[in-house]
Amino acid sequence: MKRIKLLAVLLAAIMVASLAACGGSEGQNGNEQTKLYIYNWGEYMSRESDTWDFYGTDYELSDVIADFEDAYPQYDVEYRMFDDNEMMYAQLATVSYDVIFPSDYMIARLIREDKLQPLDMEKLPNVTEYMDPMLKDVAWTPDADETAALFDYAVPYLYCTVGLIYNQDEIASPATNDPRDVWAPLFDSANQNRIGMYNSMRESIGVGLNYLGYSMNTLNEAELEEAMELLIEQRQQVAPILGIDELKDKFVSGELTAGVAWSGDHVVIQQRLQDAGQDPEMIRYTLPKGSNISVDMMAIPSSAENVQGAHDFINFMYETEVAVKNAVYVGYSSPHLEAVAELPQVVTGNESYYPGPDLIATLEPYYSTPEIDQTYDNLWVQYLAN
Amino acid sequence: MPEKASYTGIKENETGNGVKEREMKSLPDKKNALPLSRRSGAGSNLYLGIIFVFLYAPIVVLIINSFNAAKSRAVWGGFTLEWYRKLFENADIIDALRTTIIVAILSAVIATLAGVLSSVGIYALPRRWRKIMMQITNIPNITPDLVTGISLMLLFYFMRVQTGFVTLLLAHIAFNIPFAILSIMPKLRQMDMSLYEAAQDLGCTPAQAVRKVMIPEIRPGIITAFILTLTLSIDDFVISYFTAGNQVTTLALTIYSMARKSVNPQINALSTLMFVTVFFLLVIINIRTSSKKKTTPNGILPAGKGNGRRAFPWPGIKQMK
Repeated sequence: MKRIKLLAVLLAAIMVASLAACGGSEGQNGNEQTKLYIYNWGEYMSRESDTWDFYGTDYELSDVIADFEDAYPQYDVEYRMFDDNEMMYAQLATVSYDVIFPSDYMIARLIREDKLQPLDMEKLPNVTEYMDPMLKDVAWTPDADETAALFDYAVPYLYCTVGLIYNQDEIASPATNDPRDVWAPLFDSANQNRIGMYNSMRESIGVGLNYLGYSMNTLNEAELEEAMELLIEQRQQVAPILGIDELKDKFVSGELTAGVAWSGDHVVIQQRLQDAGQDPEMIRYTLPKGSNISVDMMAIPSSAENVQGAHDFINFMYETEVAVKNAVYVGYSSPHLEAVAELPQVVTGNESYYPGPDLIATLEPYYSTPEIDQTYDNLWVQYLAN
Repeated sequence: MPEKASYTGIKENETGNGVKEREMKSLPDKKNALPLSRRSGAGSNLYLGIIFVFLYAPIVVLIINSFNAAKSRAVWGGFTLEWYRKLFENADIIDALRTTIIVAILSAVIATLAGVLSSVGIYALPRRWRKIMMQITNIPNITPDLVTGISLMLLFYFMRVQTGFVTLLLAHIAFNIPFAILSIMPKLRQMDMSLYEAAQDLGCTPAQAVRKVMIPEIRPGIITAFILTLTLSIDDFVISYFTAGNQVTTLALTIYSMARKSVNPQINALSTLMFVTVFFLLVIINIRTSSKKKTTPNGILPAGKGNGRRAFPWPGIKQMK
């Protein structure tokens, strides 16, 4: 037994040593380095050197964290990832990060609870120069003052919309971008077993509300009742498949005809189709009026230790090449004016990814107040239980 | 040599020099002697086959996909080693892997050691105290990971200990020790205490008796404990999430963080490598133990089940002594 254990430990030690040798070496220089902790979503930043063919144009991607460390050698970046706003929130209670990437509703909540510190715009010249002011026009919170304050504490990183994704060969394109027309295939029993719905509370209930012409943040009992009935009827007649990440592959393989998706998902699907040698135009994406828009923003928690480094990092993220790389890698829409100019026209000209001012005025973010959360939570539990 | 086959299946032999030797037979020779005879018909083989398919089919799909040039799991885009190449350049994943392996091995070794000492100690307690100690040991097992993780996080926060590698390791050792004890106690119960007493009669001090007689007897339990704690440690997500902090990250954390977008195909390559490594390790171990089992230097067959048959070293199934 001892020899076996020794053998196992030896093997493991060899493996670890070989891992230590290749890859993963951080830039060591003799100077004083301060640590910088970044907390982002998983797979949400360009971290590999590669040439990507993005809608016909080749882009040279690189590890932007390594680029940042080259540009600012005094910082040693520790990059950590999360997959859920609530888990990030839980971590903030006891662990200190310098830059975090919450979603819009989480930022509002953090500001309310004094967990973010205001940004010093003097240190963010790139943001002042390049940020798309259009995003400031969206009513991110029910309170206008809170919405204005949002941009004192955070800077948009990438935004996305929720829309209908459909197989062009099987369904006709929606006639208008009225929600009634756009969401219709999801509730059509002719598409039984070939619809994909998001396994997410706000997306599913929100689509129902939008289809009926109501606000996605409504607390009106009659409206919610109607939406729930619609969803239950949909489940009985159309039998949608609930999922999040898995749906992408089902569209690529042709198992699904239509579904709900984020704009970034559609970009990923089209890239996968291209990879597979199929026609990426087979799967299309339409954004109806009144649908959801959400933004992930960069913010500095009040417990951050390296505030100067945090500002430098946010400023670096707003360098044009960096913003382009991130937009290409992640596939979501960039709020950086110059980056948008460098991305392919077929993407940036598409109103569904980069909605114009008229469409943006109709889009709604998800409000998150305790009341709304609880009501929608109850409804979702009821829906899942039935 | 007179053979007395009793109905319990124990044969008593007398060897040439008059030493009685007991040989445990696994099953009687006669077919149909017992209802659950070892008649391996086509039915049971088929059942076994189906179970193995269930267990290994997803892994086989994973391995095939790690060579898939298309990022989508749905289509085959051609054979490529690109994901393996990119994996070794990916600083994040390699870092996480390194941490995971170091924490797993360290926590497994320490937890197994602590488990052995604890089990021997618990076993020596009077019956009532032993039961109480086993109940206390079982509490961390049945506590949900979330509760354990959050309470450990709060504990470290109150003690002003910054979360990092040390807290991660401590947390892993903490949830591993009960499982180690759970794996070793049954072997202790099966063990024949008279061996321990006999060793002391023949001149061992208690410590020597434990070391030279008891430990080798419970060796399968110790190996099980080590492998179990290793696997639990690599697998753990929730507890690692709350105790790793911002200093270190593990493989499970990295993979789960990709849930919102989509799992990087490099993870397929990594999983394939891990699976192949574990597979070969187990095959090597099984071949070694089954070839060692044949005879001891004296030519006397050591006591053990099914010694006559040399079974195929199925991966993952240990030939227990």
